[in-house]
Amino acid sequence: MSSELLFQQALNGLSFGALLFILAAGLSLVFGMMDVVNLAHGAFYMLGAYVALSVVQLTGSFWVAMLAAPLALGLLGLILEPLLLRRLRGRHLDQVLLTIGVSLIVVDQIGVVWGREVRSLAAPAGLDGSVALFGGDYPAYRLFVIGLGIALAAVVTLVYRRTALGMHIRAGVEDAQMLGALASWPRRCSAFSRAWTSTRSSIPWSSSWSAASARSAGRWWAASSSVRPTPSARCCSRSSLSR
Amino acid sequence: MRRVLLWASATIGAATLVTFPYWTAEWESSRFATTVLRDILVFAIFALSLDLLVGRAGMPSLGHAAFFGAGAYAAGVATQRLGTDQLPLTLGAAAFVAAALALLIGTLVVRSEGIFFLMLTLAFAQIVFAIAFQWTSVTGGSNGLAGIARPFLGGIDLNPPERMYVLVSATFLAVVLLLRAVAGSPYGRVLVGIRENERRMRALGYDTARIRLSAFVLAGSIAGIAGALSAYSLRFVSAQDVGIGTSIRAFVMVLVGGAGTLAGPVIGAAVVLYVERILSSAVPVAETVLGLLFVAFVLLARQGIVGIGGAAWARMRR
Repeated sequence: MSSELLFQQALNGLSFGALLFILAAGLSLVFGMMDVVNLAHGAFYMLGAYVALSVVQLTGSFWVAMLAAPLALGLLGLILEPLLLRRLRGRHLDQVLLTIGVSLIVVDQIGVVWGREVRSLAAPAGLDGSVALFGGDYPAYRLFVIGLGIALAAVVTLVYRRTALGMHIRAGVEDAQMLGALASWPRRCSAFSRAWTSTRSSIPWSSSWSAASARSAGRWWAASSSVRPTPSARCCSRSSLSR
Repeated sequence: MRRVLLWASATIGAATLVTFPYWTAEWESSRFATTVLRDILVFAIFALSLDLLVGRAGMPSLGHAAFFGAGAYAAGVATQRLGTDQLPLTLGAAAFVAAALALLIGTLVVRSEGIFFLMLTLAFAQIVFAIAFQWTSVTGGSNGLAGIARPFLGGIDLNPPERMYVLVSATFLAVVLLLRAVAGSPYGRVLVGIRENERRMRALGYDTARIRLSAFVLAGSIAGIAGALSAYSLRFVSAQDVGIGTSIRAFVMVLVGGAGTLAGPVIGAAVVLYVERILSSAVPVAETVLGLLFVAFVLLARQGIVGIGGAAWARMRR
């Protein structure tokens, strides 16, 4: 294997890893902070992609979509958390079942609203080219994804370690009851983190990197969310249910 | 006297079920009804096997389709590639392969509990799915195995739809009787005991990990039989049979019907297949309906339809 190819593959791995990091960070926050196992995370991820798609079609701006998709998903999280998940506190199995139900609904409704065919989204101007790197060309957009992943990691670490909010989140993970006795934070915090995580889950999807597979990837649940049309993504597609 | 009456009505009910395609032969939609009922019964067997884990032993497996699929592939491969057409052989092979797989996976997962058990079973089922999807020379990969010939039982050709139905319904009854016996046996009580308080059962001297493993293997082999019947019914096996979608369907059936009962999974299978096969032709959003059902039952009626019915019955008698 030439060293050029090796570098390219390494970069592919990194950009895919960055995407997974962004996705998993939200999932882990919602599990750590709120003790909620969200198997609809993958469905939210997919929904974020479609929201971004619509926003781009409407405004023509990738950057507006980048902002709108997380906000829309955050709003959804704010609505769903008190409606469905709050009364299942501590009941992991029920949370799993409930969120599976939610993901069935979300995925099916996406099919109704956006159609069931594969869609794709072009990278924004400036990022749609390629960069000469290690003697070969590499898509600029993937480098952007890597950068975004690193930046997010830095911001999250900073917030988590250095701010009052981060302190409260850490305290909530440690002992939510105690934190509740000291202040009225947990509820607000958890609503916040809920919204935050749904937001996070949608960020990578404002990407074109793999929007082509949005439909199938959303099937590929939660933590294992991937962006290629993985086989497992197809396993519960509509056709299997109406066979 | 009441016992005799109960047994008599159960026997009549069973006979009515098994002979369904014959006494409805005059109906216009007899064929369709037989097909739907057959598929309901196949999935009822599958859901019953899952309920042995979820409802009795308290082991929420989200990877049960691995064994269903293993059985389906075993039957398909035995018929298509090995050229065996004797039912006892192929069904036995399906049960054996599924049980062996369950033993392998079970050994690794039975010590975990709750959400971790759920995630581990899901992960292992995804591995099985990947194998089924990529081992093209045996499983046909993404094409699956199509056109599986139905087997013979001795000299009886099971190809006609009525006979296939009789095979499925007879197997279903056998599975119901088996699981009923299990539920009433000391072994079944021990399973419930482990579900309720594993530590205490261990303190009482039971090797709980081994008992859980045995339940896992038993449930796996029954799921394998269901898979083989599905392969013969649809004459088709695909990687979807091993996928998470199939596992979720079974879980929906158990939960909607009512976990921990014999009637629950069967009712659940009927409800789910009704939504998928019949409602879906009227409403294009069958999956949304399933999702809503699922959410509603988790939030409002964790005991399922059987639980609701039982509560209503108790209120009426009071």
